[in-house]
Amino acid sequence: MNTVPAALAAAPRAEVSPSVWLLRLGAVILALIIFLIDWLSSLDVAIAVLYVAVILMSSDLFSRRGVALVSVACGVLTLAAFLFSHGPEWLVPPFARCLVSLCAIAITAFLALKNKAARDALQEQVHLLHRSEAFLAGAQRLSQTGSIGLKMPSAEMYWSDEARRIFQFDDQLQPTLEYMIGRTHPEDTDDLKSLIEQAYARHANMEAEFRLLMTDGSCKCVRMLAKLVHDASGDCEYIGALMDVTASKTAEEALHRSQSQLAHVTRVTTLGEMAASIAHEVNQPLSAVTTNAEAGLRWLNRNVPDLGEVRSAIERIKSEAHRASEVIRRIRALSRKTDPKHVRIDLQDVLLESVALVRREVLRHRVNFDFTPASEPMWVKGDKVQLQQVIINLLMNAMQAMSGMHGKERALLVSLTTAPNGDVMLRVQDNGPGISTQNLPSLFNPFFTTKPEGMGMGLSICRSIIDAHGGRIWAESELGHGAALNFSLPACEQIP
Amino acid sequence: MTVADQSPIVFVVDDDPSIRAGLDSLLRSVGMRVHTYASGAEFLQHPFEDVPACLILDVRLQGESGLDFQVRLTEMKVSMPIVFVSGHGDIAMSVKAMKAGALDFLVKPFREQDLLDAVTLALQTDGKRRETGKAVADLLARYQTLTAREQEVMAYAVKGLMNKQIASEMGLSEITVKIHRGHAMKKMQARTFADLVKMSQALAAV
Repeated sequence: MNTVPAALAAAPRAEVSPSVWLLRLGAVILALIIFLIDWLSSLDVAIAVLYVAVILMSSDLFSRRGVALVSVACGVLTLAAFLFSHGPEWLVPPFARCLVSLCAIAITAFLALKNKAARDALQEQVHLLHRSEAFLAGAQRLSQTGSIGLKMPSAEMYWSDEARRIFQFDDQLQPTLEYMIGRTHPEDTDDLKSLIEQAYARHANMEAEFRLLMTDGSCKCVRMLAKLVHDASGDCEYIGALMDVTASKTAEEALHRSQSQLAHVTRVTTLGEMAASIAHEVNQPLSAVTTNAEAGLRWLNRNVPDLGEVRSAIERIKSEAHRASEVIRRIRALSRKTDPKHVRIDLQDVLLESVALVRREVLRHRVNFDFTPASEPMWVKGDKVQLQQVIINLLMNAMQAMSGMHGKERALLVSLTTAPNGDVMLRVQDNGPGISTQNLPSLFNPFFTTKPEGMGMGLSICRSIIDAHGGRIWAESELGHGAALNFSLPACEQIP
Repeated sequence: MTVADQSPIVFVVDDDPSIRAGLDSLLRSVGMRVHTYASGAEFLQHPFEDVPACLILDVRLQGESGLDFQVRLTEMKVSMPIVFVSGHGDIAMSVKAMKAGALDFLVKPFREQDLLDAVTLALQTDGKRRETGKAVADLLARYQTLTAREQEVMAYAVKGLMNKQIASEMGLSEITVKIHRGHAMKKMQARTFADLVKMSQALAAV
């Protein structure tokens, strides 16, 4: 091997291997031998043409300048040999041979130098390529993003080091789609399989997020983006980026967990504020139960028991017991600590159930409650308990805002409509004192409150819940003319 | 007019339909006549019967509260005894109700016997009140039949004036006073002079 190995291209040129020095020496010796034969032999041939071999050899051994020097030296040696052996007699045949040799040397030198220049340029490009590859590898390592190439339809794969590292594949192993599926979390295998089917169907862009199950039992979350590219020969290849998003997923989950815990705490706090109403709400059916039970007994204990009356008393007891348990079910559902489940629900149902929970509060605050149910269901995707929490919070806030009002009818207007862009919009409007302009922007900030015992978390939680649902919450108010709190959620028409 | 129409009525005003139904059944089971209404306004829309009655009133009603309704009834001179029932035992509330003349204040869930006792007492109270009221009305009717002179003589007489003194006060002869006094006793259906004094006191109280 007379060329520097590609991997060492970046290494300093000073480190030239001993074999190169040996070859250089060989070239010099060869040049001297040719010179001596040219000079001393009396053969009538152009020996000097053999210098071509020396120039060709040197093109691998020296830099371009070196090759030029060698070429000039060869020319000088040819002339010197001619002068030494023939003197200054310009005899035609020997001089012609000398000229032929010089021409050959010149042409070879020209071609060798040109070739050398092309090789050097290529070398430089290889060098740059390796450097950018090194940069890429470093960036991949830092960003935990690997690259995967997939040739279709041969399913031949290319994996970058980082991609291998994410999948924890050995360097020796040539990863295939089967290995890839094997590493995927059993619950996500089907997702990946359908992704591969998409690849066979030549989808232009693919995006997926799935989990990996490592040999040590740990789990990784990866995100993959792939794009289809066609090459000149008509083959196509997916060029994909693979990102290890485990850390950000974990952080996101932790955030969601603490948000849902905070939501739970505020929910329980709200329930605490409603305790008196709730007690009444349970007490009422219980009272009806005892009254009806007593009545039933009395009908039964008559001289002629009236079974019809007894039956209807028992039926009322049954429905009242059901009513009490329904109240308890609603409260338990609201106080339960569960992870939010986003399902397709009718926001009107959620609203009606929330209104049922605050019914007593409405009576207690002597509020004129106005709500016209929509004729059609308002489908959204969301967590029932959390949305209920938002609605209850808005209703309670509105009622508390009006509690200091005297001599004016307290009106609470709730409307559920479809916004022009198709979103489902809920509006809770009161005719209380309203919100001042300077308070309006900080209304949804944590710990912002205007109530003496307020914690200032209610609306802040509402906002994080609505944000998590892909919706928007906002307030409108004019001081002295009440306030309106609105939120909108994307409508969910299709059954997922 | 049947006998049933003369029996007392219990009115129930409560906004909770199941409580209404329960109370209705309970009171009927002990043989009482019951009328139930969801609000005070609905109660007032129905004409009252001329029989002893009482009202079971929920404190916390939708719209006008039970306490406000009690005040309104007093203003309307409806003096039916009221038994309050309430979901929460609020002392201030019960004091207010009792001061305004409520007969009892029961907290839900109450013992049914307590309610029946309260209702029975209320009906008795109303019965008595009605009897007294009726007696006074009779008395007044009889008093109206007296001529002005007879009423004047009666007023002097119950003050303890002798016939002679009355005669001089009124510028009449003693005989004429005696005749007027006799007519008054007869028309007022007073057997003794002491009866007439009592009647005069009862009339003065109206």
